Amino acid sequence: MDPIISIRNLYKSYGSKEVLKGINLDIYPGQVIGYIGPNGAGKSTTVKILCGLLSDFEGEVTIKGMDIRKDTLKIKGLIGYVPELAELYDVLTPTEFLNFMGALYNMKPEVTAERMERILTALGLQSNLNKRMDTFSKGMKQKVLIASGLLHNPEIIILDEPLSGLDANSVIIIKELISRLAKEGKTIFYCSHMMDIVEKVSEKIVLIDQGVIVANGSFAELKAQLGESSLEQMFANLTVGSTNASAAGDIMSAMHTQSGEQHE
Amino acid sequence: MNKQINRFLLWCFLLPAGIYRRFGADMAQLRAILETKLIIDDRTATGLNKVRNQNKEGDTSTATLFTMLISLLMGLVFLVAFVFDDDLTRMTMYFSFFSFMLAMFLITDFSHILIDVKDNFIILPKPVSSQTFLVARLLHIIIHVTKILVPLALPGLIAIGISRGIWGAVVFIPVMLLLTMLTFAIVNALYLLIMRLFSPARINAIITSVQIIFSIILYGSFQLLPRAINRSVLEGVDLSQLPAMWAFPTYWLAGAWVYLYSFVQDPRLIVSMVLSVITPLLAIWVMMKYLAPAFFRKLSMISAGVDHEKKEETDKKEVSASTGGFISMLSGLMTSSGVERQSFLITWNLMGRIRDFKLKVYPQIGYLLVIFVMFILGVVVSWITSRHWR
Repeated sequence: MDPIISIRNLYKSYGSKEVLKGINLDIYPGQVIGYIGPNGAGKSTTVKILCGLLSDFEGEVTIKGMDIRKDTLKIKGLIGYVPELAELYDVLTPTEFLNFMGALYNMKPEVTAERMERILTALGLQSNLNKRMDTFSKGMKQKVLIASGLLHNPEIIILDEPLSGLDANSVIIIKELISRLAKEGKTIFYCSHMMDIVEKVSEKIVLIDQGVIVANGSFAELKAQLGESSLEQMFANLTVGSTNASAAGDIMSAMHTQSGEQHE
Repeated sequence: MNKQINRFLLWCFLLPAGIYRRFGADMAQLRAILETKLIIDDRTATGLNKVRNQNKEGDTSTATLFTMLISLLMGLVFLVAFVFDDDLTRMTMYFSFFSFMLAMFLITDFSHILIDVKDNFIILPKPVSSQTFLVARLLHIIIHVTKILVPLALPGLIAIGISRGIWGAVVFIPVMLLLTMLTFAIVNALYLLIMRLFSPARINAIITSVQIIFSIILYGSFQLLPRAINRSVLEGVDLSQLPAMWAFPTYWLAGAWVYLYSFVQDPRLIVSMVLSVITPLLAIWVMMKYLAPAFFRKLSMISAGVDHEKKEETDKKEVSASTGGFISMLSGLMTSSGVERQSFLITWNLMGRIRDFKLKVYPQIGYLLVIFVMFILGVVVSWITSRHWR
């Protein structure tokens, strides 16, 4: 089987700062990829490149055999992207916003309307369909974004920290949804800091640090390779070494400082 | 009513669909983007509306309608220029008022259209071609300007029509368009310059200051200009022969109008006419050719997050500068205990840094200043006139 996403020797730098230093990655249809790494590791840059937002990179990125720099529009149509921050026009209502999203994908308004209503009802937003989103909580906005990423039934779904702000029940729904989507053959690219969820939902885990892939494999493989019992522990070992424990110690000792400028 | 206005404008501007298609724009997407953007405009408090909404929390849905009303009132105030008897002087004054106000509207209202980083996350990941996106952005700006322009120019147009007949009004229109182009190019150049020199955070701070100054000037001109009508002193003023007037582009445009209206073969008027046509076109061309590419590069850099670090650096610098020295000394003098001192420092810093606070409080102080100046001016004028009579 051919990979649906193929990344070869991907380099990207902003000015003199190199963010990605030779990423090589193959992703197959129906896979759930957990893409993890510390802040500034290059996760968002990879996502932006996959979404066709950045084109000034070196190397080769193909999706379904198409070059992302040449068939950008076609590829954008295949991808559903749920951005990290609640990036939406929050003076609109969910109905207006999602109708707009549907129109950008050239979907029929009736189809958009029906899908939107059913998705948002499933996520518990049915009573807020026509309220402006500036009053919404972070979790509610996140649900609208998730709906906007799924609306056009994309083949590849890129989720950037999709669970932030969601309540426990919604987290369960989304986790279940991810595995159902994968069973249907959708490819899911899941970026997150939440190790326990990545560990559970991902078929394959890719860990990047400072622009380089430092681990790549299923959870079981990584466990065998690295000899750690949890993803959290592997992450810590691979990215910062053992300084986490001493950082906690530093904070504790800082809290007990007596000298210096204290008022009464 | 704002919905009808939006629908009408959208209909007008989407008429030349063939041209847009030739540019490579997808009409369905173009319409969707513009419809959405116009709804957003109606609900977003910007510029003047931001000041207006100070007491009102919650939803606005008529932001543009309010802006249009304000520009109509402003357009009426410009009629003050008609106290001048001399055509050239009158039109120069009128065009100067007009172009100044338009520039202010553009500066305060523009940032959210030009620097809308959200588009990069919402529209660009969708299968929208860059041509569609560009045409949408341009049309959005043009519709936005039209909404300000038409009510702003309408009173002047009617007044000219009444005092100088239909022909005067007809030639007034192209001259106004040239003036708008020129103002637009100047404001844009200003923006591009600011964007080159400062980080996005600083730009927002600068725009906030301009908004505050603008609302004070607006209030001041509402107070001052109508009163000027009675001042008989102005009536005889004739600036048209002053060589220094050539420094003002509005003087050229006034000359252009007089030329088109009267067809008097005066070399001064003909030079004005030529300058009025060439300058705006030249300005727009320079903008497109030299400034716009740099601008779009900068925009994509903002969206790519390159500026984050630079921004943080400057922010840090600012913070350390403002908390040091003078303020800590002041807080030492004004307060005694630790809690008091910290409260003083926090209040001081919040006053200087919260945008909303500045937009709410500073204009009010400005209004007081305007009323004070008006009062002094009234006293001085009545003193002079009483001496004159004696």
